[in-house]
Amino acid sequence: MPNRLSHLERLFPALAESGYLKSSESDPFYNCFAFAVHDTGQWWEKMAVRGYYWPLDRDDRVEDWVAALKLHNFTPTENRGLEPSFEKVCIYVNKDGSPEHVARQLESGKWTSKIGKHEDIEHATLSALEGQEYGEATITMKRKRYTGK
Amino acid sequence: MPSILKRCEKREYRSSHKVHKRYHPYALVQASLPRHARHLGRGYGTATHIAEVMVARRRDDDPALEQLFHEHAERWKSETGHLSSAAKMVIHPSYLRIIGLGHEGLPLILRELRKRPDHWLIALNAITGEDPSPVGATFRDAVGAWIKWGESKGYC
Repeated sequence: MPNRLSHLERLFPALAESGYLKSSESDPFYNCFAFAVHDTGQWWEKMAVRGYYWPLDRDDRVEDWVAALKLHNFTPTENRGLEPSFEKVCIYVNKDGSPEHVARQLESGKWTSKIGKHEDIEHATLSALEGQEYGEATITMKRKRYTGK
Repeated sequence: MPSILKRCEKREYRSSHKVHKRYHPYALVQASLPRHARHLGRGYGTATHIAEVMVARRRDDDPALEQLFHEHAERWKSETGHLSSAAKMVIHPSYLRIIGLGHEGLPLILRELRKRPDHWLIALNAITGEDPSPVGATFRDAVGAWIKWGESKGYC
């Protein structure tokens, strides 16, 4: 596989099998949440130190992530499949119930993720990133896809 | 070891009846004396020397410290790079060890921040108690603000 990212394959054993593509270089200035809402100018997290952005009082619970996504017009859905007129995101939750990651669906139906400070990748399935690190893809939300029309 | 520190090891301080090796016991004794018992001239010399030592300790490279820092920094980066949460990254033992270096670690952290921007803001804030970034700063802005702060304090 060209542009193979061995450091990610080690962490996410299902990634190589499901297929993925690197779509950016590493960048510490934004995280998966920022990437999910198309705001790569900020690191989205509630921190006491300046330099971080989070629109709500808390960010450590799944409901906080859901609430923050609702501010960006996302609403919960059970349908993870491709609906061309909707943009979807999916929150990964670990076994302790803590939100760990959020991926965004592309128009192709594949998913795209910013892996912490590492690269952005396109991955064919949500299960590609499931496992010990991010837990399970649990909550899907959608909003009308912006087409520019 | 920096030359000023070598001199410090050898230097002997004499107050009226006692010989005090190294600077800090002497400083403690001096501080405990009533004002009229202190000798201004000697006190000034000692204070100057202490200041020199502090500056030397802060600015001169200590290879062992630098190696320790880089080992922990690399381990921290490789084991937390995939996390989406800086709050989770900074509870890694290596990050905490780096915070534990205290002020001596500041030049190393700031140099690393300048070379490879990363989530060192929490460590810098924990060590110094400062937060030089403007309200509403992005992470990129905050990195720049900390580097400027480091320059203004002579750390980098």
